[in-house]
Amino acid sequence: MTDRRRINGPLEGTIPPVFLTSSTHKSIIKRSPTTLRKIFLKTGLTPPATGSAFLELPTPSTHSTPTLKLTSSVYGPRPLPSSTTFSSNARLTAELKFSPFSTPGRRRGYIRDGVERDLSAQLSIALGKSVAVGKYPKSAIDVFVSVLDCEGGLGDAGDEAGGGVDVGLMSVLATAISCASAAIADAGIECFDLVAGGVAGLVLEQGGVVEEDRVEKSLEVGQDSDDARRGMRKNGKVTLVLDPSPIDGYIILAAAAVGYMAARDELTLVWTKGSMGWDGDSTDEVERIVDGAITASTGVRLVINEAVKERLLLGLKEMGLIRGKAVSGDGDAAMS
Amino acid sequence: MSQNLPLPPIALPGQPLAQSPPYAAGPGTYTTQNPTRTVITASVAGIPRVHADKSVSVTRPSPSHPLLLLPEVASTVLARVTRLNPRQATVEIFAIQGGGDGIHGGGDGGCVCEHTFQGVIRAQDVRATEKDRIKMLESFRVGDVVRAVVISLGDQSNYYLSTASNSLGVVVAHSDAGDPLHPINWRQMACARTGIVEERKVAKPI
Amino acid sequence: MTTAPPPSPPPPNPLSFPPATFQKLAPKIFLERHLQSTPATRPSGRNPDTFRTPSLHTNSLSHAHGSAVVRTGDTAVVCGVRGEVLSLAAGTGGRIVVLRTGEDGRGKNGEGEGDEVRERGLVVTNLEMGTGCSRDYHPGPPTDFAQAVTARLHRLLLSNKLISSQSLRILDPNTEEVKAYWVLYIDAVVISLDGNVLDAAWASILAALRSTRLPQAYWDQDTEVVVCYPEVSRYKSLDVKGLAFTASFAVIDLGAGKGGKVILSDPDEFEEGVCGERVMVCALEGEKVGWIEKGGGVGQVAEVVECVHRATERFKIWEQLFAEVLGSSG
Repeated sequence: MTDRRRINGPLEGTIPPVFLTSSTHKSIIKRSPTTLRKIFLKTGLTPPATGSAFLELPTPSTHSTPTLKLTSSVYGPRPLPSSTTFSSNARLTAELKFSPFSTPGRRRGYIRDGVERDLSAQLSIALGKSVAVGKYPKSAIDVFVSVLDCEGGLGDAGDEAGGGVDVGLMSVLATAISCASAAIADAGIECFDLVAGGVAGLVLEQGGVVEEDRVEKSLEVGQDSDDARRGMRKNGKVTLVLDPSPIDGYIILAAAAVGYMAARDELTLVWTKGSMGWDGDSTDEVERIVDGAITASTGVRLVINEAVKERLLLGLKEMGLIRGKAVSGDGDAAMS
Repeated sequence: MSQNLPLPPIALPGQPLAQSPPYAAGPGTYTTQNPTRTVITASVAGIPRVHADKSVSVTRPSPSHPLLLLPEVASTVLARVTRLNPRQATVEIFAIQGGGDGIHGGGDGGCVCEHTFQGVIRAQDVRATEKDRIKMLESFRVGDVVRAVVISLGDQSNYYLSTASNSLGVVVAHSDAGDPLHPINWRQMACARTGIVEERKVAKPI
Repeated sequence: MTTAPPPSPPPPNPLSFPPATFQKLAPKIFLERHLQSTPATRPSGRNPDTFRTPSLHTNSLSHAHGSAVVRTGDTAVVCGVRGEVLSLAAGTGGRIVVLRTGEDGRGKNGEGEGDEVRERGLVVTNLEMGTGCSRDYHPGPPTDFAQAVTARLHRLLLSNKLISSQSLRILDPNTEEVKAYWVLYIDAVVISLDGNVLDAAWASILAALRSTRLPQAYWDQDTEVVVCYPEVSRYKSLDVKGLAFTASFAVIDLGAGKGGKVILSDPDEFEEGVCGERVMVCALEGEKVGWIEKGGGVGQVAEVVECVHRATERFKIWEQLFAEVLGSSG
């Protein structure tokens, strides 16, 4: 569809390159189920914004490792347009946008589609309860997240998911929540606590080897994918994996993404995918996955804390050594 | 002057700092009620301090960035007049000079807002005496910069301001010809170049 | 209004504002005062003829064929280049569309360059500013300013003829006929904005094009589809001819006797808001000039010549940066 306000490609349409053999990026990474990937998080990289943050997951070890990159900027509190009704609370809006070059396969256009709207709504929900909106009457707090690079696909049609649940979108949402929280803390907006996002998944393994093709073979026979998974479950071992990556190559039977406030021990968002509780108490299994996601998000929270502290110390140093000494002291009122 | 309260060097939102019965919550903190006690928790990332009056606050150092302040009741602001009618003057608030709580320790100078807020000075709030015989055109002109105090958060689109005090009123003005005016007394300003005197509600220079 | 007796010298203005407030109060006077002091400085601390130091990183995006991140001060732009295939037989019921000019670019030693790129729209440039890069830019349809900058970038790219049609053709290996083209989608996303988005965006586009490696494609006669070899080692670089860099300036008139006209190199957001007059020079290799734009005020030719000099100096800085990061220019 032609977007009149942008320069468009040829009218006949173009297709992404088709390769002779499908390239398999799937590397079977021997990461222990409870190890989280290293995150690079830095705040204050967009000076025009009130607060900003940049997140990269995982910190790349090789040049060609696909990574998830996001930037977030926060503006506010700023005046609402005068047509809005009076509100004694601030209005928090969050918008998430994918860049055209962020996803593999087909290039995304600029037009906002359902996926972006959905994730933006989820992001607003996750962040909404953490900000002290009562302290900023008649104003708007705007959070913008731009996804520059997705690791794997987003579960669009045509992506290979190996027959399991696709965690690409969940991973993007969880990291977007963490990045936006870091930006809000950087802005100095009053919050009750910082929300961190985490993902966990139930993964099918058999004898330590990831079974990629077994589900596909069953599908060929014409079975329903759910049935196939159930069959697999009875045979294989199911492990809870924290922070699964879409390109790890696991078959993920079910996954959960949460937004969690660590200091207050409260969840602001829970999103689960896949069927849980095939053989056993389903409540137990749901709890198990959600707890796993909470553990993952607690790990991310530590990274956010470090990044915010680092930025604060940098600001203090810029203002002179006097402040620096007070920090190492016991914070008493002798400092004026 | 240590209060014997072990505070961390840097506090992050959600970090508990002190308990409420001996201490009080200052700017940058909030209180949560537990069944057994009330806890004072940090709400911004910054340096926690205990003050002489036993209030705990968290302040953010702010190097050069314009600060995160909203006009609050009783805060002094600088605003530019954008519209004028016999009953009120519409202004655009661009700087806040404290007077509210100080979370952001930016010093006592003016703090510039990143985003301007709209405000209104009603005829009865221009001066303290003879409120019913005010003439707006003799008090302000479009383009003047006034120092005012916020009296109310107002409605959806405007803050309500008042200049009813000696130190409040027009601080920078230009004559019809474009020359800068300087104050003579509380109701007149003169142009240096031509000597023309114009009427304004003038702020007392400090 | 009454006339007072002869005015006594005005008392010194007892109102003094901190610099930040004064900047908001009277931006033009604030800038003028800075420029009138000796030595002349700008609020950011730079000299009027100093550009901001640029930084460049390439190939940081996983799914783009070429990418670059350019930062000049607080303005940062990320550019990604992706190639997609335009099959000449697609969508036309199997017929091959012939251009009205009758030229498909073959023969003539590869001349007729740029025509296919322009006529078939093989290069699609877009600048996205709705990322929260500064407080005026929200996600949504592109503003007039963004559309204008996109149009300028697109025009510069086509007029400088940096990309040859030949490198974008996909041939049938047996008949040497052109069966398809690569279409380059160039998307520049502004991450942070502090004035002068054009220079940073242009440099990021150029760096991304130089770092682009497209898969090797050929026309498969049996299936009548364009197919690519998957091995990364068979990817080929785009043949980007030469270098071109833009330099933007803002001009302010201090008034006769107070310093006249001052040309500010690489204006930041505050200066762009105050100054109405703009000049842009696109410098090429060998101290040549490819494009000049001037508008917003009345000036002497000498001003434009001064801008050209500064632009050629700036070209050398960019050239050196590109050589460091991308290797020697082809």
